Amino acid sequence: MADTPSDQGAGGQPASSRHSSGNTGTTVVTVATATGVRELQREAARGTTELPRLQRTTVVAYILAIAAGAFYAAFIFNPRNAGQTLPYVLLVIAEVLLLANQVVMILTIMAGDRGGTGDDRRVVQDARRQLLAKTWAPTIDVLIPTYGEPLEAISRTARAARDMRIEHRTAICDDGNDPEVRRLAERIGVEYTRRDGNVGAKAGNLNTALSSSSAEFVAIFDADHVPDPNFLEVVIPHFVDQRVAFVQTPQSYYNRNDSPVADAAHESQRVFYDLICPGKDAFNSVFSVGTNLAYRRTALDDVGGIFQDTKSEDIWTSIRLHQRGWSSTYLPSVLSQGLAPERVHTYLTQQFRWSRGAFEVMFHAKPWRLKGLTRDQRIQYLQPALHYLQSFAILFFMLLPPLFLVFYIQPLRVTGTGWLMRYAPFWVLTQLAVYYQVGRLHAWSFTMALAAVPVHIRAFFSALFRRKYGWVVTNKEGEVPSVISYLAVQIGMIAVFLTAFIIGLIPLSSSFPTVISLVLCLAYAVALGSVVRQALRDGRRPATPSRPRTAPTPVEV
Amino acid sequence: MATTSTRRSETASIPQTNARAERAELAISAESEKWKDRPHHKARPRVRSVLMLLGILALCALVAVTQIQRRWEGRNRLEVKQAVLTADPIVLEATGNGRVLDVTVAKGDRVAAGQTLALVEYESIPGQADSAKQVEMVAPAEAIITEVLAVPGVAVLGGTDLVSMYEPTKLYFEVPMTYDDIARIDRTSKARFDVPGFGEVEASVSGVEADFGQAGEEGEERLANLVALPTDVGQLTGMAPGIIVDGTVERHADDATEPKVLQSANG
Repeated sequence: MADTPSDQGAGGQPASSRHSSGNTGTTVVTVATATGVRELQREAARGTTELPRLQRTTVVAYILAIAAGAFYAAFIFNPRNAGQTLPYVLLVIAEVLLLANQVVMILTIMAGDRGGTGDDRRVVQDARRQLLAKTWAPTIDVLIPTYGEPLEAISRTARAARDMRIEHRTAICDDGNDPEVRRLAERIGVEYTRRDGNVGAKAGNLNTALSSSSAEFVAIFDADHVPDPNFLEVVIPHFVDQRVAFVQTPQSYYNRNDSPVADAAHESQRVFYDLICPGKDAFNSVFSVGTNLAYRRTALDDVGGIFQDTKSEDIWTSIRLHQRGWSSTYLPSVLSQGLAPERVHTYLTQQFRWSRGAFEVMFHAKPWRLKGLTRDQRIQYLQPALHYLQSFAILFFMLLPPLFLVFYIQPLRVTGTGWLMRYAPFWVLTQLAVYYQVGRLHAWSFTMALAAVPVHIRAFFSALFRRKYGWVVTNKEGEVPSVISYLAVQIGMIAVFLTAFIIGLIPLSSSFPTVISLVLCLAYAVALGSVVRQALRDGRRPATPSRPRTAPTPVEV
Repeated sequence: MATTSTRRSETASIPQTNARAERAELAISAESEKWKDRPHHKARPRVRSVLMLLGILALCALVAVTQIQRRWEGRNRLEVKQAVLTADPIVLEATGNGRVLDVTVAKGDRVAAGQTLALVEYESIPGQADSAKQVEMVAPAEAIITEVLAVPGVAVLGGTDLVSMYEPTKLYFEVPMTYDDIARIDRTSKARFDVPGFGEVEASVSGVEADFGQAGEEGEERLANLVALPTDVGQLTGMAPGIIVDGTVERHADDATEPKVLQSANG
């Protein structure tokens, strides 16, 4: 088992090396000499990532993208170019949504462009030195909430959590009431908690565990997120600032090469954690994502524990903490490795959960009128919903080519070239900005974003009407739902695109827009078809649980 | 609640757990092998999803069949929307300075050719005795009055509009079209328009009302108005300008690059 976290330390060091530098509370004491502390500090520092400043080309690309967006908006919003009334009004709404999201996103990213992580601050360094020297020894609980996840995933996470340096207590909080999980906890020497019933889902599970804990800090890891040994020594010193309620670190996926779906999930997460979150941090509005973070216990007590009237307990708890004047910190250092959804249905399930959470906040928390939040925090708490609202705009734009080919519906009374001349600079510059920042353009990310559009729209109405939904574990093995059950709308959309394509071959009007519409219909059909094909492959894949190929390694941002 | 050991006791027990962890590794590996062999349980598709998909497919099939059939049948016809029934206005104006003595018609009146519409007294021209005269303003053709600006007793200047009207037998259809579409239409092509409340009216293309050299602003679709004259003026009875209609115009199957209507008009 040379490839498990138990046998390799951070950075792929051999087990002997890791053990000598201490991976348990007991071992730390033996090396906590002056030299040992310096070594440990250096090792802890290796786990942190300095956030690089945005390159000048990236900033220029962003500014040009905003300018091109304004140029395009001026063209679209000019009533002289209006075509049929209803499609034109819908087009304007869709464009407003896209542009608003684009502006908020770019401003957020640029706000986060400060360089550094705050980890190099003297007070943090001093706190880390004291922590490693054990002159400051806060009590820490590490909780791993589980609910039917694969046993091996729980085991891997629990062992890695147990082996984190800095003295702490590790507990598996089993909401699945699985005797195998209890036996696992006994075998690997961590505590096991369970409760009667499942009231409050994950939040209820955590609150139950918190009720028997008195630790000053509580770190939480989902069962499929394996922490690095240095997680606590990097994160806990940030609580030296007494206003900090929680410190959030990114999610990174070690199984991203296992399937194109996992790769797409990883890419979309990179944009969020590498670009958006540092910006949110600048506005003191980073929200908890429910895993890979540590809370200050007094802060949690101040808001009555984890908020459990929703399944998006993480963001709601964050809102309450910010309302009470607590602050949050985001560390861009990758200090844990998780499992990305590998299958189409798990990806879409996760998208539903996340988008539903964002819409719940918009509809039911109404951040724009919450007391105690700053203006920036209100905007930032609306940003996730704004992001997912784009799916309505994307759906509208996807349906325009078939509507034109079949019913000759035109929101704009312009030539194809006239439209293209204004839209192309906006699109190219936006993609260029993404390319400069992220390093590549990922076709599967676009494809999965298209496939997720109906899911986001379903989540919108589900949140609006407060429909109940069950918790589904990401990458739960052993059951593959029928493709039709979760891709019926997407398959239907393929049928619509192909039908429009065939009809469009006998055009009502021989013009450039017809050619563009035919190409777009075909492209959308191929993109969604590739998702359906992947879903069919998922059903044939063996149910092999994923495991890290190498030990969790800090990933450069 | 099954939490048991204190922090101290848990920490103390860790050295022993390494050996136990090795055994746990083996147990979990065996578990993994079982997972590999475990066949997937493929759930049956949900009835609601199947019905929804079937509904979408049926709708697509229906639209495809009707649209393809319609387009095949009308492959030599161009469907047009927003065509406007139009009439050229006839405006009668004062021929000199003077005063309106009487007005005998009102807006909406139907007048015969030669019928008196108004009586105007023009001023005398200095140096010409007896040049002041009263003139009857008469309808040049059978027409319908659209506007009466003349008011009895009011002085008017030469060139002032007094009465406007249109000839109900000279209505025609103005059809907005793109340059591409007009390129495939001949002069004398047949057209049919569905006039709300009056039924179908046949017409014949007579020309284009636009200068193709002036293409409008960049980005705007180049539009021109095709003019189609009704073949049976008797059908126009009761119709008024401004009615918006849909219809079809015959066209060529081949892709022309020049507007043939314009060629014909120029030729």
